[in-house]
Amino acid sequence: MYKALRRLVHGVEVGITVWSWSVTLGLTLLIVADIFLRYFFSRPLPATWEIGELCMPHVVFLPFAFALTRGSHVRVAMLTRRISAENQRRLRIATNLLSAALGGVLTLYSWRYFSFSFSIREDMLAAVRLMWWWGKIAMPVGMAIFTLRYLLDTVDLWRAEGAFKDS
Amino acid sequence: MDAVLLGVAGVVLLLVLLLAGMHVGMALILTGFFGLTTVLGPERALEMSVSAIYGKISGTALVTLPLFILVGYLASGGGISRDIYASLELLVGRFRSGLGMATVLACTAFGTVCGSSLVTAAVFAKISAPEMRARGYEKGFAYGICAAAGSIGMLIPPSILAIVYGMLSGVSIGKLLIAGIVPGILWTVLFCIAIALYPKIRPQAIRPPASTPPIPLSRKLLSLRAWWPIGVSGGIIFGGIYGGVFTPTEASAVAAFVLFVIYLYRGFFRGRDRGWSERFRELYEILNETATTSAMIFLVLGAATVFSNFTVLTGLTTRLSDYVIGMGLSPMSLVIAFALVYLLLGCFIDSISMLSITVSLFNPIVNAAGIDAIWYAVVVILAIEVGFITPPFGINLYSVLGVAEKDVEIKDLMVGTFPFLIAELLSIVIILLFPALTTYLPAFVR
Repeated sequence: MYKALRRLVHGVEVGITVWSWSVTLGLTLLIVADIFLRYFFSRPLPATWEIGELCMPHVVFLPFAFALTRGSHVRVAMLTRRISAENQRRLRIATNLLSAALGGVLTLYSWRYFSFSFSIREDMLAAVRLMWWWGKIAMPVGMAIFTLRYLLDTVDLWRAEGAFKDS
Repeated sequence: MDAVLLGVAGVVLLLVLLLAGMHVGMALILTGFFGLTTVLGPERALEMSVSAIYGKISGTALVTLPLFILVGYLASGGGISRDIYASLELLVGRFRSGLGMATVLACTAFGTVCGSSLVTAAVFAKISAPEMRARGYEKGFAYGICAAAGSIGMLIPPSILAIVYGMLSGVSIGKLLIAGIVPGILWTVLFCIAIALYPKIRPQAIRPPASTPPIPLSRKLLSLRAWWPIGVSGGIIFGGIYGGVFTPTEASAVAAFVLFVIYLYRGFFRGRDRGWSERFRELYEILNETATTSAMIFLVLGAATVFSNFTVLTGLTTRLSDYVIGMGLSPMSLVIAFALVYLLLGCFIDSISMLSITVSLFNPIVNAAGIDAIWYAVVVILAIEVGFITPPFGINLYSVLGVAEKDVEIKDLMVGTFPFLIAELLSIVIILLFPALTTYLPAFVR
């Protein structure tokens, strides 16, 4: 059951990371096309910057969890690497739980931030109709998977009593 | 609660969380959130934290960051670095210090497509250090050159650190990028001088080379063909921003697009020595690396906004600014003092976290003292970059060590980078004495 959950979360975090870099590539093409049309045909694409603003949360928030899995997020190891492996494990559990709690609260409030925008059909001041919630949904999704990843890592650390050697 | 007391409590909490090993981004959010709670209450503090994080990192201008990161990874994957080095080896490699200088020059050239010192150092440690060792360079010196010269990539535009600084401080990113050109060239010159002088003090650093046959001029000239991707990318970034054709965001998008096409042409479709699955895997890895590196930076940037709101709303920034200005220090003394703080912090904290924690505290003081924002930013970036090769958190040392040959140890790298540490400190003194070196070019940015 737990293994299946881990696999599922990993699948989701990889999937949303792929979506994130696909959005980055799409945004690149959009900006290049806008510049090309502006300089050569004096007809820029409508609402490029507004679309960019909706894309950015997808670029930013969705890979948080995958970055955690790959160990990309920075931490200060000055003190922790000088203590015993067992104490490192305990500290890691404590900081992971704190981070998970914080992540959970941020998920809840970012969900409210999104759902309010969704409920009033909040749209942008742009040349074409664009809804703010298209961008705002990325934050709760990214934060939720990020929180789940912290919790799963904590469970792994909890189970690894006596076997934790990572510094 | 008194602002100063609250501020001190916040900084202590942040230090405790950081030392306990919490991720820097989460520690900054937690500290900022607790601080805001004392002023606004938990409900309002949380709402403000979420809207601050979302608002700060969802602006289109910030797309510059992932795109320049992508440019760097594409350039290292497309074999551009390897070709430049091969060309420089032909041009200057025959001299005793030639290969070392070729590495420094190649890092400078590669810096025009890659804004990450970590990537530049690792790429050239793989390409050039084994070659230097084979030609009589001491192992520590060979890898030390790569670790130090990698930092030049972070000065020459596009510089990720300059972009992050601009995002945090509100200083024009375009001007900051252009301001890095002269210090980048200064480092290149000083590093080449260090490579030429060091063997005179320590002859075993480079053994005299065996005589090699001279290389025909035609072959040397032909090797210059390898430089075209650098010319194209540099033209887009320098020419585009400097000439007012593109905004930095547009320049990053065009550079990413062009480098992507170059990568597909050179590294993907023409890479016949590798199977298709390997080529797809490399591209997939480049895109994943871009996403996760950007996520790491964005988490810290968003978190810094929450921490910054805490310092501003509690009045800590104003009180600290008034206190420091009241001390009557000259602008030069202030800049030197802050540079020393960054030099010291660089030994313990990574560059982006350092900026995220300090910009909201230091920059109001700098602004109130009437110090030129661009000059100060360059001094800060240089001071931070010194930290890339100073132990125990010299990130370039570890980056190089990660790809170095098995017999290389961290202490070899520390010895090998020492001449460059002196050169870097000298460059800070030069920039402090001659601010025009950093402010002249940005004045022309439209």
